[in-house]
Amino acid sequence: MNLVEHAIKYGLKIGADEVHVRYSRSREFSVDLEMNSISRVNYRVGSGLSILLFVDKRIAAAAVSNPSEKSVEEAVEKAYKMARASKPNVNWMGLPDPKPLPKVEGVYDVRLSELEPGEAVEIMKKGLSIVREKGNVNVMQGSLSITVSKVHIGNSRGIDCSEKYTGLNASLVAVAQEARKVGSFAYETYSSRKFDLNIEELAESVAEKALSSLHLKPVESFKGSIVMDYDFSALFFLMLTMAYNGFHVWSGSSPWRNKLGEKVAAERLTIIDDGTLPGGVKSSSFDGEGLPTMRKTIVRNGILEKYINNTYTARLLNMKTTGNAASPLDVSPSNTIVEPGDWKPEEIIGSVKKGLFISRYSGMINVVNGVVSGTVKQAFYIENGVKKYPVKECMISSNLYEMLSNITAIGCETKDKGGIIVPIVKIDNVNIISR
Amino acid sequence: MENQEFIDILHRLVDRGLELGAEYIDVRYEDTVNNRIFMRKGIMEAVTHNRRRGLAIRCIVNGAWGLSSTEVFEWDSLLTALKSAVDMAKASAPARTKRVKLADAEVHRDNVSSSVKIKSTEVDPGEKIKLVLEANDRIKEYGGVIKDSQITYGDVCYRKMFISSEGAEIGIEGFRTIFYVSITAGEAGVLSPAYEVIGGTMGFELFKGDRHLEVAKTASERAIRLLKASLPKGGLATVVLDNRLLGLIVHEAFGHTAEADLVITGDVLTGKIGKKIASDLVTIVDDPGPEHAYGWIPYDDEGVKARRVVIVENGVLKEYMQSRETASILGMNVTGNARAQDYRYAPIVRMRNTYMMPGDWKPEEIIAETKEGYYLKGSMGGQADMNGEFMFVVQEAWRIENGELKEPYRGVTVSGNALDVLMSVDAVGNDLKIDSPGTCGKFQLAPVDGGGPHIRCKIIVGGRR
Repeated sequence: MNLVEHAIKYGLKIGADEVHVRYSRSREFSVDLEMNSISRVNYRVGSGLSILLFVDKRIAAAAVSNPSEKSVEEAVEKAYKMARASKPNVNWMGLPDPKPLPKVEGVYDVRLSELEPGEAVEIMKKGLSIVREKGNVNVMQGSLSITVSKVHIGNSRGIDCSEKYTGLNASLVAVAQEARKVGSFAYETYSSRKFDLNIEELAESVAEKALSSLHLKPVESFKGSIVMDYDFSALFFLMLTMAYNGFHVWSGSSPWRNKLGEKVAAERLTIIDDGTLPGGVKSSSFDGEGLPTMRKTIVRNGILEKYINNTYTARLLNMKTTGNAASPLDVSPSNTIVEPGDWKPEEIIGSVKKGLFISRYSGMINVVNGVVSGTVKQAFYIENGVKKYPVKECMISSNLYEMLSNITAIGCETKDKGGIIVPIVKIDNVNIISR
Repeated sequence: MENQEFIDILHRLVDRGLELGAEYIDVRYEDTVNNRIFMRKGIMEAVTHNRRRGLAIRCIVNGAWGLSSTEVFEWDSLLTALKSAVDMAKASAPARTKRVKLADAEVHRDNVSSSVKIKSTEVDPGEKIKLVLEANDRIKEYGGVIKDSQITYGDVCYRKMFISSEGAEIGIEGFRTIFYVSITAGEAGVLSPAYEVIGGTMGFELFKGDRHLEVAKTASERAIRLLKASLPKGGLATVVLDNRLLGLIVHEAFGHTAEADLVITGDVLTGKIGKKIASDLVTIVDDPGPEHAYGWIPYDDEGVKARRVVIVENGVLKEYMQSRETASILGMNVTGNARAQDYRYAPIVRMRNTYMMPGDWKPEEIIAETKEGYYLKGSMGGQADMNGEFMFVVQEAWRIENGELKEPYRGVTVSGNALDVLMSVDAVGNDLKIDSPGTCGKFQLAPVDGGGPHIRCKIIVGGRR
């Protein structure tokens, strides 16, 4: 008997009404960079089992590393004791029944699973030297990690599914320096399910960003356009996922409650959530409660069509699950795709009368009240369609929901920023505040 | 602590590592239990218990680091992990331009426990859940004006063992407990958030005197009070900062730039030892010691005895925070600042409890002696950079006029460069408080604490437009 099955049976035996179990196992190695050098290679193997247990709508969870029959039983007992001591969640309506799962391609890559640490070291060495050749750019941190994992989910209503995955995550963090001036740090990341990392592109890009935070000129405060480069765009649309997350919709913390069928953004905006995307870094055939993942349009041509849900939130909203369970209690986006538009990046810049091209944004994007207020890093001033010079740290201030309506151009190319697949996006009427 | 048989096995493992060609090797074993209870809007969303046990083997072979972690403790598995660590070091060796060298550090054999009165591991889960329910009842007393409430209880109990090829053998047992409440009040289209926390390196005695109810009350009343506040004008202003907001600036905007790995990479404090970088009134330390501070550590994760680091003394940059490797690169002394999130990670330079030392002003005198400015209290997060640039969201603010607090403000941000702010300090209070428990995330997570007294300085104040 496997441990997932054992945990479920043992939980029911000691008095639980329902049991949900997640087992995962992974091996990973990572090549780390620090202080302008390859610093070490790490190798990690580990496994864990977590149990979610329900007694009269009272819910508790327990987890153990390197589970054995004995430690699983102890954890189940612990969860049972905690659940008994807790307060019922009156909204809880039970775990889901099994459903047929889709076949999702490209989540496991044999080549990646066989990659040797020595090869990965060579790749990062190359990345490091490309950045260092730029002269004044230092690599503060970097990492290339390769993970091979397996996830197995089961519940007391008959769900029993498992899948194997591979993953590659690369990052470089660089800082430019000149004389006694230090720039702000720049980062670049890449995630994939397969061995397709282009380290040259990653290194070139991070060095360019780092250098663009030297020789800064201040800008006066003005109201104008911003062009969000891929990282900022990814952050923006990642935060926006909370607005259509069924949990936040139900709890009232999203202003998109009761807005299905209404216009929430400029007509050119279409957002898709797709857990089945071939090779997607957030793709899998089942979600965190073991139900099928799916592709669905959230915003189509500016109209809100759907929320993302798990069984719990779907029932609260009188809807159907969309296969977005992070767990039976939590909802999370899968691959988030912002559909590309028809603007070439240079055309977007060319269309800006007065504005900023922004690589990095650091600050608030508050989904509840819409406040967007924060600092702009690695940004260029644009005037009459021409990128002029990098600007000194300044603030932008606007409202998330107004910004969605003020999208006036969407790039024709997209980049996958760790499961957020976005083009560059132009937004008008944003306050740019000098400080 | 762990039994002698297991400790002997770890020593054997270290010996075997030397036979396999390691120049240096250390083993970190950790057994961590944590409990978390989370309630949102009166709904119990999570009651969780988590136990992780694992071991990291770190070695230097051919002048390069290798690290391997495992959660299986049978001898064969440990040997496999050891061989992986050696192989990882060998794989990275050809790419290193300089061999790893470790600065000298005293070798310790010790057993330490954090000060604790009521071990959270021995408290019935029902008692912990009760705290959260009681806090929720307290919040409900304020009625419908509270639009959102989040209550979190967390405790951690850890046991660590560090053994090295230099002969170190250090056992540490520690307890941390934290309790925090986030409230959003709402009225007439205005939403105002507030946050309050208590916590430290201690056990369930944290809640003596019903402090959880105090947290619920403080956060609720602050959020409600802020509904009536207005938005400020922006610009460079004279401000009085409370200990929490100061602590955040000292940690995030200044402290990170004094971490030796970032100094070596090249940041705003590189090459500035002995230089004046702040007002004469400013002394900043990173202290592993305060008994109940959330970032308490007796030894770091390289077995180095953690000592107090005086980063800035009377305005002059004195010392950076170090790991053994960074201390060797810079030719400086070790400080005991190398910390790892857990056994899956290698230790890197991290802060512990970072704060500004007190001066001789009474806090109320600082306000009384301020003609025009703002009193800024607490924070709701923000960001900082390698060059000292920062932006933080302030929790609560009042305008000061002729030494008196006037109307309150909300939605205030502060920004600028940490060094400019520290240079502008012209009054330092005598009311040191270290009460900002939290988790710092510099590539890895680490429990930290910080604070300082009330101070007066100049800062760029911004508001919502």
